[in-house]
Amino acid sequence: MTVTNTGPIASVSTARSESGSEVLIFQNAFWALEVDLEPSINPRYLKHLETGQVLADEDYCYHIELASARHRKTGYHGGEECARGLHLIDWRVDEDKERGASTLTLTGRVDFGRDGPTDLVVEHSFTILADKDRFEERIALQHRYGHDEHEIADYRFGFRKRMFDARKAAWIDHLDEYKLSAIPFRRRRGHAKDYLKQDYSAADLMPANWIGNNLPNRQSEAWSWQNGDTGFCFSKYNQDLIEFALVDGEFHTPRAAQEMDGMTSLAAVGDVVLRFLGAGRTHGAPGTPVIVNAQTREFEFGVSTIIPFRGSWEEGHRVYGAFLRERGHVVPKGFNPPVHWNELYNLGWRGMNTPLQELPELWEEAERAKAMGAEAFYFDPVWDLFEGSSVWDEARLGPLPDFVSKLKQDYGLSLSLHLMMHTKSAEEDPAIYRRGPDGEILEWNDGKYNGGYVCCASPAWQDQKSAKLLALAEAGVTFFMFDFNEYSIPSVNPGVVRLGGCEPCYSPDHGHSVPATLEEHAAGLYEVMKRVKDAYPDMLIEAHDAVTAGWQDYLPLYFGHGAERPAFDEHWGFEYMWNPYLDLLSGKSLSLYEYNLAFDIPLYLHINLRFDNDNALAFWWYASTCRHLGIGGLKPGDAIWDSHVDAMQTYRRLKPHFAQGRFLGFDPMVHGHVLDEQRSAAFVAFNMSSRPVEFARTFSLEGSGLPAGARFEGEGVSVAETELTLKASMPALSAHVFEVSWE
Amino acid sequence: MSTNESTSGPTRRSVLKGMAATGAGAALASGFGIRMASAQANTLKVMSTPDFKFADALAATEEPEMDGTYLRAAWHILQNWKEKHPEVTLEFDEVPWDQVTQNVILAAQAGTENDVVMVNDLNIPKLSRGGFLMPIDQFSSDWDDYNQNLLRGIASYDGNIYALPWMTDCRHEYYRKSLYSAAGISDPASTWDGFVEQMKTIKESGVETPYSFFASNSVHTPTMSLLAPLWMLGGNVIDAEGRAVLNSDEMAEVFAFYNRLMNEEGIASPDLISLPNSGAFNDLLASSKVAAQKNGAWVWSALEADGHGDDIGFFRTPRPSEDAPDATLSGFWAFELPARTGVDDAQQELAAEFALHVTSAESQNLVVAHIGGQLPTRPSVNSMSAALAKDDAWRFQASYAADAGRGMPPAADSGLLFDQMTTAFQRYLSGQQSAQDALTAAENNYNSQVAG
Repeated sequence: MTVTNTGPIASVSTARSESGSEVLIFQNAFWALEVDLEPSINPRYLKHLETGQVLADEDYCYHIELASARHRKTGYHGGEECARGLHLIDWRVDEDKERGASTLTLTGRVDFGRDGPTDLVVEHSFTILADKDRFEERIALQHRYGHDEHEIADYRFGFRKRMFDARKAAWIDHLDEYKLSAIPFRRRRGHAKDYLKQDYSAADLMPANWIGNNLPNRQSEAWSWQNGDTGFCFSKYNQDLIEFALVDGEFHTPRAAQEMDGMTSLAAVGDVVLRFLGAGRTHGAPGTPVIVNAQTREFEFGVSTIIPFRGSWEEGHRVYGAFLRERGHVVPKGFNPPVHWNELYNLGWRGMNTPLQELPELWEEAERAKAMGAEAFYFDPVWDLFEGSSVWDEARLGPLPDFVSKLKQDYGLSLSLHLMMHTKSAEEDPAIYRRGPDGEILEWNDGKYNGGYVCCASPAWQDQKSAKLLALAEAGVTFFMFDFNEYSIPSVNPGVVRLGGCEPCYSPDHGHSVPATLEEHAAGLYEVMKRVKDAYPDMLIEAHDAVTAGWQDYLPLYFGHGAERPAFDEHWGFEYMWNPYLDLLSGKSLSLYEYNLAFDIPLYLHINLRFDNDNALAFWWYASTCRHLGIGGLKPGDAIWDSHVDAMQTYRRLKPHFAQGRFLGFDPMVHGHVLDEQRSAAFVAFNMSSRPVEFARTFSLEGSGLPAGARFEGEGVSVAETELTLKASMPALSAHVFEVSWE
Repeated sequence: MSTNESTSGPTRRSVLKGMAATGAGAALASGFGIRMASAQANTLKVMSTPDFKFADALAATEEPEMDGTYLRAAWHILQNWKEKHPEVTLEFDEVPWDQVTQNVILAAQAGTENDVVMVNDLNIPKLSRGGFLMPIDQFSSDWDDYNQNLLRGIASYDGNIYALPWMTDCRHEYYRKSLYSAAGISDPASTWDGFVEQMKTIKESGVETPYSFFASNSVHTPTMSLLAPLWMLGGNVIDAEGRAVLNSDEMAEVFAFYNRLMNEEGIASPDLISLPNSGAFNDLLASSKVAAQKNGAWVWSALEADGHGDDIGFFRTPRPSEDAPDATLSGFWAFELPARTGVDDAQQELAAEFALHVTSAESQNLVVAHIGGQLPTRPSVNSMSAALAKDDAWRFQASYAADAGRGMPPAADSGLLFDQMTTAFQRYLSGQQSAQDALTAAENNYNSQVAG
């Protein structure tokens, strides 16, 4: 050992390996990282000390490919080049006492081989914390000096963990028992290609498996990798670029094996390794090209984090949820959204099947909303002059202030509006439209609509849309849903929903990149939301995702959500609005349970009660998983009307629990909604079977945040020591609500 | 990502730092697959200019006297080379400095290339883009001990290094201490506003036009007066595609600053536009007609020799604001390897090793030791023996060049670019055209002829 230093947060030392090369060791009580400094930078060994789990034991992946000269007007013209490694420039350790963090930063020059460029630098940082068992990784590409430009066509950084030893023909450390699960959605309808997998086994991760794909073949903002006892959450966080956490399996032949007689990288298929953390381009993310030049100098990727946990995949979701709450992604204080009544379910989508709604039928629908106990009248399309115009159709519906006033006075309802970003007219201000490469307006013509795609990155669109929405807010509207905002993705993505016919904007007059990036498009959309929020802080804003308008496959769910200058309050409930009952029975909307394990950002969903059963099973499922609920589709006299009026009365009485409460996921069929300060909770149990059951479940209070030893009260509720038992007779296909309070 | 110390102050500290192994040994024993030169290659042909005295040094059998030229330094450098490679015969082909580019091109066409050539900064882009030079990244991994703005700027193309910068210079402000003192000013200002106020004070004290900057028909007008302040504002004159970008907000701001000095405040004389030559310009300071002047590092030795050393001080060129970066133009000559075919690896490696030897920190230290006014392109030389023995002026200049030195813009035709910049500057200062019109015309003139 040649150098040692022990700081208050972490120690760092250098040593010589058996082969004589320099190795750097960076560690604290939680983690130990070893980095080869010679012949090239190689953070090849990472160990979690508490569990003893070695998380990396193979060469770090530094894969960087430069764009081919064919696609470049400037920059490196020598053809496609692929990095061979990083040569050390320097390293340093910095301590941030305020945060209690110690950071090792390695700076290396990318080696592109004999004739490759030498002006690309990688700054690779690892942070460990004094009082928190986490490991963070940051990567930045730098072009520190000079006038040249490099576009990185493809890249993949990542630790490697050997799972299967090819030479011994054996799994290593029983890693075949580990499962990989995406967070928050293990499996969900948004994926155009469903591999029927809730999680991925070690066998699934073998490259070129029998299914023909290298699973998981999808992106996710975080993953859990666990064996039921020991687990690790791998996350990526970036509010500037759309990025995802990547985990995959690959065959990797160690350098030592490559050098053995008769054993080439081809002959030896190689060990199966898990590749994780780092950064990579996938499924169109980031939307921004990775370019470094004299203007940008640096391209920084988001922070990757490893969070250890004990338990199964649910715990992985929970620790990721805690991570998100630390970053401010929480339920808005005092969150009390009005229960919506959506007129569309009874009156139809008149934009597609005229005639349009008229006042008498709207007031009749408002009467139903009032009778059901709803708090707001939600006007889906069409209330404006034409869809997307966002101008109240005064000729048909009367002045908006009068409409708002009558709703309030006669029915006790506020007014909520659906908004379209794209517009059914191609004759608004030409400056708001998305333009193709030829400069022509990109027409929105999908069989249902004839109009124009708008460019959300266009200042003209932002100004005009903001002005229209502020006028609506001024007239008394209290909720906006931002919908129909699709944007093109830069490549075909087999694992996710495809967007037919949606192209990016190529206008050189909008001030954005050409074409505009996903990030610019999203930022433009958020800018309009922020302007509304600036003027009307109490305006409730629901944001369909900015790329696929609801499927949420292209954006991390935290992206754009923030407290400093809020844009939106709620996410869309992933389109389970049309037949929510079958979505539940088919298992699709179980994903909402998974969402709630990790995310506090409220979901908004309206559901068509017409398809619910008399036990209000769907009603309670969505009430229990979406903090903001909308309903509709029933009329007095319908067979299930009365049961849903009853359900609504119970829901309204317990609403703060569902809207604001801390979500407890005991299992997918038993949820808790806890108001800690009020010392009360609502628990909801679901019987999804076709047989009645005598429900009786006992749960440990440990880790629930419920006070052990407290005296709990509630029908069907009992407590013994540190265990909570819920009992109820439940009909087939039903839900049961337990009301609990404690002293 | 910046260092933590600079972003969060005293709550953070750097615990430990380390660096890759550097130095002459590491330079060639890197991970880039370099082999030491073979003894089989025993003749090395080098094209240089007479100014650097390599041919004379090679012929000298004894250590030459210090004569103000490169002779003595070159002799030491070659002696060290001979010790390492006694088997190698050196041949120097000396070409006048203004013919080196043409010589490289003609030699390539005739197939008579030298092993190593010396080309100055302005001509590197033309030769590297034209395929006349070979990238030399592979011959070393010790690239970090060069001024990176020079190495990765005009010495590079498409991400590869084509030239090894040798000695350099910088441009900065000189001032008459006595005139400053008479006006009650102790320390020169560091920002534009502060500088203007000081100049006004000196003007009020009786110096009619206290400041002089190049505005005449001289290469120093664009390179000395315009580039550094433009860089301080974040601007540039050549974009990534090689096109001139002259009509920029930053250039207009630079023009406006000089207009303020010359036409609004009367701090600088309009006669600067018509000065006949550098001698006349230099004389303004030497004769105390101005209190301050921007000039090259190379004039210091003459000022000192003429007895002005005690009264003349120096300072960094004032910046537009306190948070603007320092910048000064650093010109240089460099060593390059011609692009050739049919040359074996050993010969190329020997050529590279010679170029690396001459530009090494040790050789630059010899230059600093044996000739005045030369600044290193390798920052480590500033802490070596010769540098430590230098006077305050040299150390100021070396530090300025190391901290803030930037290379020439990578224009395919620097002469045309500089002429256009000068013309625009003069038309603007003389009131013939607005800055926008003058710069637009200059930009179009350049791009239509060179960039297409």
